[in-house]
Amino acid sequence: MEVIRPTTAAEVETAVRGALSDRARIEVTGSGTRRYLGAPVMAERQLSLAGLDRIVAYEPEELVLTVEPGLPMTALAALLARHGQHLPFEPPVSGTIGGVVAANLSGPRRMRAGAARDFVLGVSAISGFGEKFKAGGQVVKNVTGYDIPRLLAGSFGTLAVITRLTLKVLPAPSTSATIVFPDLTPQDGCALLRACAGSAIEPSGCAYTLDGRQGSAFVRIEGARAAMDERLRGLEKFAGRHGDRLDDHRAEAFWRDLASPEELLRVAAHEALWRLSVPMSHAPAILAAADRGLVDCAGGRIWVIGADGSEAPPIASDAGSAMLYRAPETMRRACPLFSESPAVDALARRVKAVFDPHGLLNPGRMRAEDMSHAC
Amino acid sequence: MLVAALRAVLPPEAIVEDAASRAAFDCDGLTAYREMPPLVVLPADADQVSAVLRLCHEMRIKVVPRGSGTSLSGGAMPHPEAILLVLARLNRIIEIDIDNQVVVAQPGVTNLAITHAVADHGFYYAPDPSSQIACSIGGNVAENSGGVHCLKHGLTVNNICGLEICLIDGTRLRLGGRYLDAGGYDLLAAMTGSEGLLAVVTEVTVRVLPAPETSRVLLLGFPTPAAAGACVAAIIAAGIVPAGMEMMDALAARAADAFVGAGYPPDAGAILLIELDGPLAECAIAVDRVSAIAREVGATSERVAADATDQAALWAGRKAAFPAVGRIAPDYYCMDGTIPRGRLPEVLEGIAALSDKYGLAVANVFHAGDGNLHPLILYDADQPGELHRAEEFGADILRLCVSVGGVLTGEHGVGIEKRDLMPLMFDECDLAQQMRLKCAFDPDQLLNPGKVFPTLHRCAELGRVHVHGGQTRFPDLPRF
Repeated sequence: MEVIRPTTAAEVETAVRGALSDRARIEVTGSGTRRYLGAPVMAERQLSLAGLDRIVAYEPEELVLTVEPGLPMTALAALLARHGQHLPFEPPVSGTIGGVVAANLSGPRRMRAGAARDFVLGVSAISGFGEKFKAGGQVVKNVTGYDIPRLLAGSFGTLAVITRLTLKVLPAPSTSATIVFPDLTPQDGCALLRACAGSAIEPSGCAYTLDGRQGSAFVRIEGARAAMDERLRGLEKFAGRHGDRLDDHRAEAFWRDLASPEELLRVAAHEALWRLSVPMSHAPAILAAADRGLVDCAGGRIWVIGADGSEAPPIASDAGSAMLYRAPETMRRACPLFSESPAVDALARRVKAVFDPHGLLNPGRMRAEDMSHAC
Repeated sequence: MLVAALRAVLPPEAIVEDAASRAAFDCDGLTAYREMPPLVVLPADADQVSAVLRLCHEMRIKVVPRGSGTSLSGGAMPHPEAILLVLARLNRIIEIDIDNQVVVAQPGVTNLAITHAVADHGFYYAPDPSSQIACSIGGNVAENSGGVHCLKHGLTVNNICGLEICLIDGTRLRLGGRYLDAGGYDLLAAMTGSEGLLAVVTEVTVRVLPAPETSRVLLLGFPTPAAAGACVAAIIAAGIVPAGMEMMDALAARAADAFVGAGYPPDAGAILLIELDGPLAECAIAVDRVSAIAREVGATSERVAADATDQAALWAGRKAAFPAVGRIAPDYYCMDGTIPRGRLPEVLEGIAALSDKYGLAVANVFHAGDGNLHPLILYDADQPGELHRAEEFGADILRLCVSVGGVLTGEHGVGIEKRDLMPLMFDECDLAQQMRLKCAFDPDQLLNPGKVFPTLHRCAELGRVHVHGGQTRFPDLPRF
C-alpha cells in the first residue's frame, strides 16, 4: 500500500484531493498504535499524520492547547506536566493525540471529567470533498455554529482528516490516594463504588476487579495535600468500611492500565475484549454473566472477555452500548465496532455522506457495508 | 388545509389560531425582534410532536421549535411562513434515577426544576443559566446553555447523556441513554447547540452531580477590571478551578447593588465573585489561597460570605445584574462574545472607545473564569436610531472579540441576532460544511428557517459544489 506522509495541512489537503480525483480510498493513521480498533480498513493508500506533530499554541493560563494530530501522547503529557496541567479525561499515554481524539478514548476519570469529546474545542480538517474547513474555536466557551469538533471526536477518521486540534486542559490535582476495599462480592463492591461516586468526596476513580467470586474495590481521591486526611475519612464513611491505602506507584500503574486493560485482564490473542457502557446499577448482573471482567467508572464502564466469535454481551439497545475493543481479525471483520439501532444507523450514514460522499476515508473501520448485525 | 390535517392529530386546545393568543408568542428573550407566528401548536407528548412534524414534512411547511422562549439570540423567534411548535406542555419529569445519577425529563421541564427534583437526594444539575427558573431543558440542549458554574462542570453538552429526538419526517430516535459512551458518531453532541435546526428534542437524560459538601463565596474589589482580570489569571495559574468566577464592572456592580442591596463595595472599579466548593478542609485551603492571591495582585477589598444567606445575597446581585441594568436605562442589549482571558484589558479598552464612538453607555458583566463577556449596551428604543446604533455597537464588540482570537457567542447562540456576523469567524468552506450537516438531518430545510446561517443553499447544491479557499461563490438563492 502506498504511504503518504504529509508534514503540513496543505499537503494533507493535496493528498485527499489526489485521492478524490483518483477515487482511491485512504486509511488515515497516526502512529498506528490502535489500528486494531474496528474492522481492518480496505484502502489503496495510507495517509500517515505522524509528520504533523507540532505544538501550535499553548497558553496554560487560558487552559487551551492547540496541536497537530500527530503529536505523540508521551510528548503531550510531558508538556502539560511541566505546567502542572493535564488532559482531565485520562487517555492512554500511547499513540498520538489525533488517534486518541479520533477514537474518543478516556480513562477512569471518564465518570466525572468526561471523555476526549468533552475537551475538544476546535478543529481544522479536510473533508472527503477535499475541502479544508474549521469548526469550533480556540476559547473554552463557545457555541458558535454546530459542534463539529465533538462530532469528529469518536468518528475514527471516517468523516474528515483532522489537521489541527484545540483542546481544553485543566490543572492537574496535586495529591492523590487510592484506597482498596478487598473481599467484596460484585454486588457489594459495585454498591460501594456507587455510594462513593454519588457522594461529596468526589472520587476520580471507582473500579472493581474480580478475582474468583470475590473481588476488590478501588477508589481514588485527589486534592490538596493538607485536606487528604479529611477526604480519606469521608471516603471510609461513605464506603461504610475500612480500606487499605495502595502504594502510590502501584496505584498510578493500576489507573493507567485501566484506560486500556488488556494486560490487567490478560487478554489472549484468540479472545475478544468488549468495552460496555451501561447504567451503573446494571454492572453486577453483567459482571456475574461474564467469565472475566472488571468494572470502571463506578459501574458505568465494564470490560469483559469473550471467546473468539462469541456474541456481544446481552445489553438491551436502550440500556447501554457495546464496543468491540480488541478481537481477532475474523471477528472484527464480522462485527461493527459499536451496536446502533437501525434509525440511528440510517442517520449516521447520512452524516457520513455529507462529510465524505465518496467513502474515501477509513472505509469500513466503524462498520463494513456488508456487516451482519448479529454480533 | 394544514389546520384541518392538524386537527386529526392534535386535540383542539393544542392548536392556537386566534391573533390575541398568538401574539403572546411573537418574540423570545430578544425582545427587540418580533414576528407574529401564523399558527401556534402546543402538543402534549412526543407522539403528537412526531405527528405534527410528519404532516409539516409532507406538506413542506416550515417549523420553528420553541421551549420557554427565553433565548437571547432570537433562536425561537417566529417566522412568517412557519408554524410555531411549542414544547412547553411536555413538562413532566419522567424518572429520577438516583442509583444511576440521572434524571429523564421531557423537554419543557425547567432547568431549575431538575435541581429541585434531586435536591433531597443531595444532588443537583450543574449548568445554571441566569434564566434557570424559566428556561427549559430542551431549550438548554438546543442552545448548549452554560451559566456561572460551567467553568468547573462544563456546558449542557458535558452534562447530558441521552436524548430522544424527532426528525422532521416524524422519525423518533434515541441517542445515548443512562450511560457514558454510546459509540458511533456523536450525534448527541451535534444536536446540542444546534439551535433547533436539526431535529426536535422530545426527551432529555441529564447527569446530576452530588452536591458539594460545602461552598464558600468571596467578594473581592479591585481598582480596575484589568486588575480583577489579573487576579483571575493568577488563580487559574495556581491550579485552582473555582465553581464560579464572575466579574462586574463599576456600572454593573452599582446597578446590581442599588437593585438588590447585595453589599458590593461602592468605590471598586470592578468586583469579582468567586465560589469555591468541595470538602470542608479543601475549601478552607482554597479560600486562603485565593485571598492571598487577591492581596498580591492588589485587591482593595475582600469579604468572605459569613453563611448561606450571605452567599445568596452576594449571588443575588450577579443573577439580577441584567434586570438591574434594565432599571438604569430604558432598554439594554446583551452581548455574549468569548475572548482569551489574557486579552481582557485591551478588549475592555476597545469597548470603552466604542462606547464613546456610539454615544451609548455599556455595563460589563463577565463569566471571568472562561472569558465569556456580557457587555450590556444601554439605549432607549423610543429615541429614533438608538436601537440601530446599539446593534452596530454590539456587532463592533463581537468583531473585536473575534479579532483577538475569540468567538461570536459563548452561550447565547447565533440565532437571528448574530447570523449575519458568522462570516467573521467562518469562511465559505466552513459554513458549507455546517450547512451540509443540516442537510443530513433536514434535507428540505424546514426546521427553524432563517436562523444561524447568513446565506442559504439547497442541499443538492451543497453536495455537488466544491468550494475552494472561499473562492467559488454559490449562485445566490432566495432566502426564506
